[in-house]
Amino acid sequence: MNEDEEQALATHEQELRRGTVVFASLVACRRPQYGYSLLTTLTEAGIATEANTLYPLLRRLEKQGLLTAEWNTEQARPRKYYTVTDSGAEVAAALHARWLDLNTSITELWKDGTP
Amino acid sequence: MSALTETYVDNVIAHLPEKSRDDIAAEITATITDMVEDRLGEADPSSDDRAATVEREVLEELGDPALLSREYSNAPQFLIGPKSYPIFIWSLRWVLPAVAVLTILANVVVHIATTPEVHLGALLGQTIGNTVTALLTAFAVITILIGLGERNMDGGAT
Repeated sequence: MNEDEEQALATHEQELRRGTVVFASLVACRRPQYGYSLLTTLTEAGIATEANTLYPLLRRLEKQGLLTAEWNTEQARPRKYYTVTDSGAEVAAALHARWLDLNTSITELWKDGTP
Repeated sequence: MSALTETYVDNVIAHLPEKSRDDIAAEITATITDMVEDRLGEADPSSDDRAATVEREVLEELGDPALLSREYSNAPQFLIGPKSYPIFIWSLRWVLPAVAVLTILANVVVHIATTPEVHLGALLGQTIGNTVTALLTAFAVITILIGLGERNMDGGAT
């Protein structure tokens, strides 16, 4: 790949990733997660995420009512825990279904295009 | 919390709405501490040099505080966005030529009607001057109106 192709690939990969972070966060927050635990959970799951987009995203999802947030002050350090709400779980389930559909479609399309 | 982290967090929250500042500050601080601690791992916490290096690394990874702040505020960072751009260009394309033609005509007519002895130089000078002013005004009015419309169209940032 030459430099231009690499540049284009990087842009497209980033777009692809941006779309999946919301879905992945909703799925991961079925268990209560604080910012850094979510980041490591996603990274360990193989979903590379940047800290500076993830943390603001969590607040946005909270505002949209897809996550609830609660400060836990019982531990040594107070942390804000995010958990998926009922509507967040519904959205995640719908996204999951779309994801599987897309996967099927892409697989079909890929097969069709392969000689 | 070190002075460096404190400065960083202050920079992030400085331009955010007042009611969310404390909460965001507490959250970022906790996160930075988490990240630093995780990276230090079992390393001797008393070695201040290492802690300071790691802290710097973490802050660099989080990036420019102004950018992070922008992510949090989620407010539009533009006057005319992609949604209004077509109508903006359309308005400019139609309104500016119309304004130019009207101003030139009006100036020529008024000048000829009110000046006993018409000098081409004076006529040209006055007409060009007034047309430029009119065009700039029209441009400003269109930009301001559509810029304001852009803000209402979103129904406020979510």
